[in-house]
Amino acid sequence: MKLIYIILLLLLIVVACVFGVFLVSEPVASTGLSHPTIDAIRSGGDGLARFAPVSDIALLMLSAIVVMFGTLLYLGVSERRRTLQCKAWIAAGTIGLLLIWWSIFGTYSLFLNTGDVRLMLGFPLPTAFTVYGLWLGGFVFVIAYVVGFRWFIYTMEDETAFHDLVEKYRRDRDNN
Amino acid sequence: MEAVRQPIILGALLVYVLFCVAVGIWAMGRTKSAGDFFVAGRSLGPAVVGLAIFSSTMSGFGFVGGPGLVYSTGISSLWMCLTSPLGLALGFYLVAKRIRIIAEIRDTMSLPDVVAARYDSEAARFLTAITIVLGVMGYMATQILAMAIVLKTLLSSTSMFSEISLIACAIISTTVLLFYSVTGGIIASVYTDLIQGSVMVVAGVLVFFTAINVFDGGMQEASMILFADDPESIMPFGTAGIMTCIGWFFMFGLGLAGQPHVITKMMMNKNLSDNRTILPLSALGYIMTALLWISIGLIMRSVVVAGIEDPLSAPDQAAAAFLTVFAHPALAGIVFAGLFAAIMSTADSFLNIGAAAIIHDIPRAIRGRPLDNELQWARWGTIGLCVIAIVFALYSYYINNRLVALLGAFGWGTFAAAIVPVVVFGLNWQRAAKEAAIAAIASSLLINFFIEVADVPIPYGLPGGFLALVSSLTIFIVVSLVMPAAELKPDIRDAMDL
Repeated sequence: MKLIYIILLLLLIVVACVFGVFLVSEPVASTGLSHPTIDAIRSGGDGLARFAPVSDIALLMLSAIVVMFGTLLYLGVSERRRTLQCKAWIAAGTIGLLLIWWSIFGTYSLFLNTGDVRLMLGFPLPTAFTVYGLWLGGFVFVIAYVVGFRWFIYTMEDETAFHDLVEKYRRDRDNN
Repeated sequence: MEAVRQPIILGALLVYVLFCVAVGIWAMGRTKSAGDFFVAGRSLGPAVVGLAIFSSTMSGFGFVGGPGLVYSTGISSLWMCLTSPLGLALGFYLVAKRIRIIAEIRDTMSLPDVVAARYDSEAARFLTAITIVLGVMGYMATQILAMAIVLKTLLSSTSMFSEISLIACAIISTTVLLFYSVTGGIIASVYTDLIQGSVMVVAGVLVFFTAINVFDGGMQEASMILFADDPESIMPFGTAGIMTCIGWFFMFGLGLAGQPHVITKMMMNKNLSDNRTILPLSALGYIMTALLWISIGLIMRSVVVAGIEDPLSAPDQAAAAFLTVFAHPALAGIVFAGLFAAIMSTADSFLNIGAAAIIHDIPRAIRGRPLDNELQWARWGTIGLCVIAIVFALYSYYINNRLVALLGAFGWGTFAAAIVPVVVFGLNWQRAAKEAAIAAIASSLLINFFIEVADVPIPYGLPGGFLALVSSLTIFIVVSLVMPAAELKPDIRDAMDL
């Protein structure tokens, strides 16, 4: 299946989720409310009341977005260079990000339903997954780019081909 | 030490301003053509490009608006800044290599040049240039206003300048910006970015360590204070809620690949292989600077809800209040210089791409050929753009902020929605059609404008820019699949095959 069809399918899932958001009932303070005593600060209010109607949609939507990002990164690698190493890096990064997202979602749902809160590295557990996980998860792709640069991003062969191309079209331009 | 706080801060600013002027004079000697003015002759090293990319991404919004958003909404806005390594990775995988190859083969000077080359379409060039001009006007007006407000805050606390007006501050700060942008073009811009980026990283790290030591129990104590006041504020989606955060994650993650002031810099490195250094440098720089965004906002919210400090009258005062109360005067000096640096490094990038759109791309799209003596016109274009932006900025401050708010809607979200599909699919999918590019740009502008003008209520706070980006990506793919596949020019096909 061509990558572009996978991306289109994932986009259509996101579009369907957006329609879903428009269709479900919206609690009064879905985007927070003014803080009762302090100006210029907002409160979240009843977390469960605003989370429950869209929780399934949110889980599906961000999962689709993460897979879409992985697919787009793969699209960015030249077709001839989509080696096993490239696939392994991008799959590992995408699965890692998915696991982070599911951990954020799962621990937050648990907190809303039980009220239990555990701290990790200075933050409540779901927030720690967000603060440390989101940027570290993204960094996997940065490391993959650095490590795999000469394997699947811009090989020595590509570099030679690039210089040949520049020379060829420069000559053509000069001749014209 | 407190007695010399103000002189230290003003001294740091003065040193920084003098540095910018000196770089402008130095870069003037190296700017001999429009190519030098707009893309630095594609001759820059990896450190310069790496720092320029992250410092122009982290604008004054990151230094002032970011902490303000965390102060106001808790964790929510972290979904904007923590996506940056992922966003930069997307930009480099999808754009950096091919845009640099096309820039070399076609000798392009701007993003609309690349779009026109890829799609063989002057209409696509024209629409991209118009999008850039509209976005730049909104961004520039807000950046100029931010510079003027910061300068007025600093100067009015001295006896000599206690009565200085906002207009005077706007003129002083913009004159510095204009001086080095006009004399040295993008060369001055990226070399000032080098220092601006370094100052921002140092400021971010020092502020972070200061912030986590405000409470004896560190960040954990701050978290518990926030949790006791309002659990949602310190939970992963903050007070804004889950859908807003997901929208920001998408917009700021993928959207970075469509920011013209960022991806234009991907055309400027001397060697394509330098991308291997540029990406990690940019990602690390951004994350270290984002420490300021995160830590100031959380600590200021904690000390206010704990009753240790008085509430702020506006969220955007969070950074200034933190520096006044908790920072050593020398650190405050560095951070205020860093704040100016953050604003200027973004503003000079916008001035450059805006001038390129006005004097290079729009004339080429209309006349089919560039203006004579582009370098001279580039300098006049930069001045003209800056003057209009000052007028917009002051008009919005004194009379009516609706105009800038409208243009501001053409900020990150509109650049993302209009440019991401055109560039990302255009450079990586040979079937991407020019009709799709035109449809995606037009639809994204219409959707963003409609949402802003009609003030459309969107449930659960889904950002309008997110809806526009999802729509334009979908429209782009569908239109490309419906249209018959067009033959690519041989050089573009060769570039895409690499």
